[in-house]
Amino acid sequence: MKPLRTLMDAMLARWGKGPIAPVIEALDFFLFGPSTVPAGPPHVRDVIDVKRFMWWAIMGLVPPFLGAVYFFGPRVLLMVLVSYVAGAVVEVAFSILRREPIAEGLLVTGLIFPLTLPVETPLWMVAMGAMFGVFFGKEVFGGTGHNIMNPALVGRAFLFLSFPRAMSSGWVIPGEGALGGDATTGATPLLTAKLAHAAGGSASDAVRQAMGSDWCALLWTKGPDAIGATSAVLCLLGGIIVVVTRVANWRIPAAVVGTVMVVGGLLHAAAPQVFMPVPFQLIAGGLLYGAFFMATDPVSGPVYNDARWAYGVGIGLLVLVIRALSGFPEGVMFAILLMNLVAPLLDQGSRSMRARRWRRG
Amino acid sequence: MAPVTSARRWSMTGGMVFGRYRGDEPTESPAIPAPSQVVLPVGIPSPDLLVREGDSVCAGQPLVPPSRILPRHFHLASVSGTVAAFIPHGKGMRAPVSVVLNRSPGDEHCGERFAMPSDPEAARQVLVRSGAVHGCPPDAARWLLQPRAAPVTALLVACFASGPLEPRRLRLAACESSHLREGLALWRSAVGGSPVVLMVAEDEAAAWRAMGAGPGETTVHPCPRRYPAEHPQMLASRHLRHDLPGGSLPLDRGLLVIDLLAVCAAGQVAATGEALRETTVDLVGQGAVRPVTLRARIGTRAADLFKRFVVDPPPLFVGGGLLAGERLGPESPVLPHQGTIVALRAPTRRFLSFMSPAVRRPSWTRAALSSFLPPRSLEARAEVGGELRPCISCGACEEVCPRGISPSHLARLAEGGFVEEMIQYGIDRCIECGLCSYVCPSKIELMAALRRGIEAVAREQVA
Repeated sequence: MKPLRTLMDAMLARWGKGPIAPVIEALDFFLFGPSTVPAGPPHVRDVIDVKRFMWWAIMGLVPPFLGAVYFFGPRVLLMVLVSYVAGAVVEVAFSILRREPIAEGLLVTGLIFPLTLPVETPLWMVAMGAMFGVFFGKEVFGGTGHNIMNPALVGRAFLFLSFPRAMSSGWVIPGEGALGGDATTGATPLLTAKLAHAAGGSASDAVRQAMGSDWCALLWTKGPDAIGATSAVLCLLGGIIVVVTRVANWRIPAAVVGTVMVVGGLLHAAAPQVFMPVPFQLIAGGLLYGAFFMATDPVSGPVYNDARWAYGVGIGLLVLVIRALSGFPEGVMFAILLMNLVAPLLDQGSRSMRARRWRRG
Repeated sequence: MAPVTSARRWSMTGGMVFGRYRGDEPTESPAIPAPSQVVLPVGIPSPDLLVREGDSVCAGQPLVPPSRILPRHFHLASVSGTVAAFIPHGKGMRAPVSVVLNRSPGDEHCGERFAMPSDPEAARQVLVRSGAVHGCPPDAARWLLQPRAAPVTALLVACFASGPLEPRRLRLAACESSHLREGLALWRSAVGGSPVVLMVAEDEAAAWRAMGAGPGETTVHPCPRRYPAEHPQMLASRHLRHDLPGGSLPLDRGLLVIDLLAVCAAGQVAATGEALRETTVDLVGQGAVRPVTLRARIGTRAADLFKRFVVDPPPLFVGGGLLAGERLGPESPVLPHQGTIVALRAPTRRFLSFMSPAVRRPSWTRAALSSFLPPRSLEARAEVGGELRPCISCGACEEVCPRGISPSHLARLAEGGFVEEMIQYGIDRCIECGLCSYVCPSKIELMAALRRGIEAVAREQVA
């Protein structure tokens, strides 16, 4: 690595003080890390840093990503590349303007965002969504660590609301078109069920129409959906990685999934014509993907564990309500975004409860 | 030893279990000759001292008047010799000083001789005048020095250390076993015969019971080896079986907490009848050629003491624990109850270090393979290991905090100077254990911010 180190030293000497200093420093620290000695106690530090944190979040996204490539073909790679480049343009521009280091949040946002889209999304739209997400979801609030909503979901919401036709017609049936064949598009299972239900069918019939009845096969792939959320098994696998490494707090996905199972089960029992069965709620749509990778974004979620439980329960309830009672077939995105807005309030409530408990002794 | 209590449980939240580190257990104790020069920080200005430059002193002779003894400074000559110089710590005539003594041949003790006292006040005086007060935990030192001390209902002795690279105290106890019983007897006498509780690590409880070290009413209380379980606040909470409120000291509940080193120092005084001149120091860490236990004269410079035992280039020395202790310079003198000094190596830059599997580097988050591998010797370096970033609200500091506060939120309040809010959200519960800064992935100096917050609150309350 000595030649690379020499090259980096030369670049730092040449551009380390100029306007592109943040880019050079980011590259230097990305390749070799800093060598700072702690100024005070503690004199040793945990091996975790934001880069390692983001690296493991990416490791968690690898199974859904590889699944997406397997199901939908190399276009997924192109979408991810476009997303990274477009997001990086905004991120780097802000770093240079603010003369601040380039933050690592983009490493995850750039991957997590395109995995929420249909595979037929035009690339310019992917770029626009990534740029909008990074700009309005993060940078206008002050950059990584200051955003109140998940930037990837902000970008997706922007595309969803701005280009509803493109975002609802590009759903390709997994496996078809992956190796260059003709892709067949279709409605997502949630949309199919919603349409069947609107046409007067019962929820159970709608589910059968949307997904068939082979639940085991559906765990692997469930029909056209967001490219990262196609396989429940792969989402679970990635989720286990981020939860075990504590990159994601387990309480949030546990609360989301638990709420959908328990409350969704009760609601389905009480009003089967309105609320879909629990297995369908879990597998169809982006519930698992959202619960493990989007809701667990530390910056836009709560800090306290009790607040995290409430946050997860809130997401689960909102998903059930939006899916059953609103005009939208899917509710995960809006549920997480809405709960992002509530997260500071939940944290404040948790803090106040503790303070009261301490005062009481 | 007296009967053993049942293991009473107090559920400690947060904290962190540190594994075994390479070079954390000294196996040899080489003989160290007394240095030719010692430096003794006495903590008061030179005009108030009992000695002048050029005076001859003998080992055990007081250097400061009894009324000016301070808890964190040493007041006795640890060698016989001449006063070579005074090193001021600050500017002006009233700056506290360190006394430099040149050792002369014939280093005999000629100071006051101490007998086992018969009453608590006399025992307390022995602990103070013999130098055993120095280096005690601050509360215990204050209790010994103040004329009207609060009543003590139990004496808790911290017999374990759970931080990284902390050698097992059981070995120290075994080395000092001859003094241990006498030390405990002296402390027990000072607290008026109150029960003594040895707070030991769970995995060493049987050995402590077998050792039978204590006098009279001595019991053993097993504690988890989970940092910072040995902190006085945590030990008191465990003993009381409930959380000690913020701003409340163990002494407020009648508990005096000391550590095993204070007992060993008292034992040395009780056994020899002479003032304290030496202390035991463990030198560990990868900056040491090998981990050693040294019996050093108080005031020996770190550079003189360790020159035979550290690697080249000279490493960084840390005393008082890696997480909450302070860095020692080469000129820093060894003081009573120094305990462990860790020699750390300087950081190195590694290619794509954030992608490394980290099989020898621990992580609370489990984002290191060491978390999933069988126990092995870990490595510790004096490095931050990442760049300073804005808080990403991961909640790691919140989860490890043993006192249940939110360090990230309090640090923000401290930076903004919001004193009332800091009090409201429990800044007085902070015990400055350093775990929040240790785990922070954004590498924010949370403990330093909390310390500033605590100082701001104290200033406000005084005003």
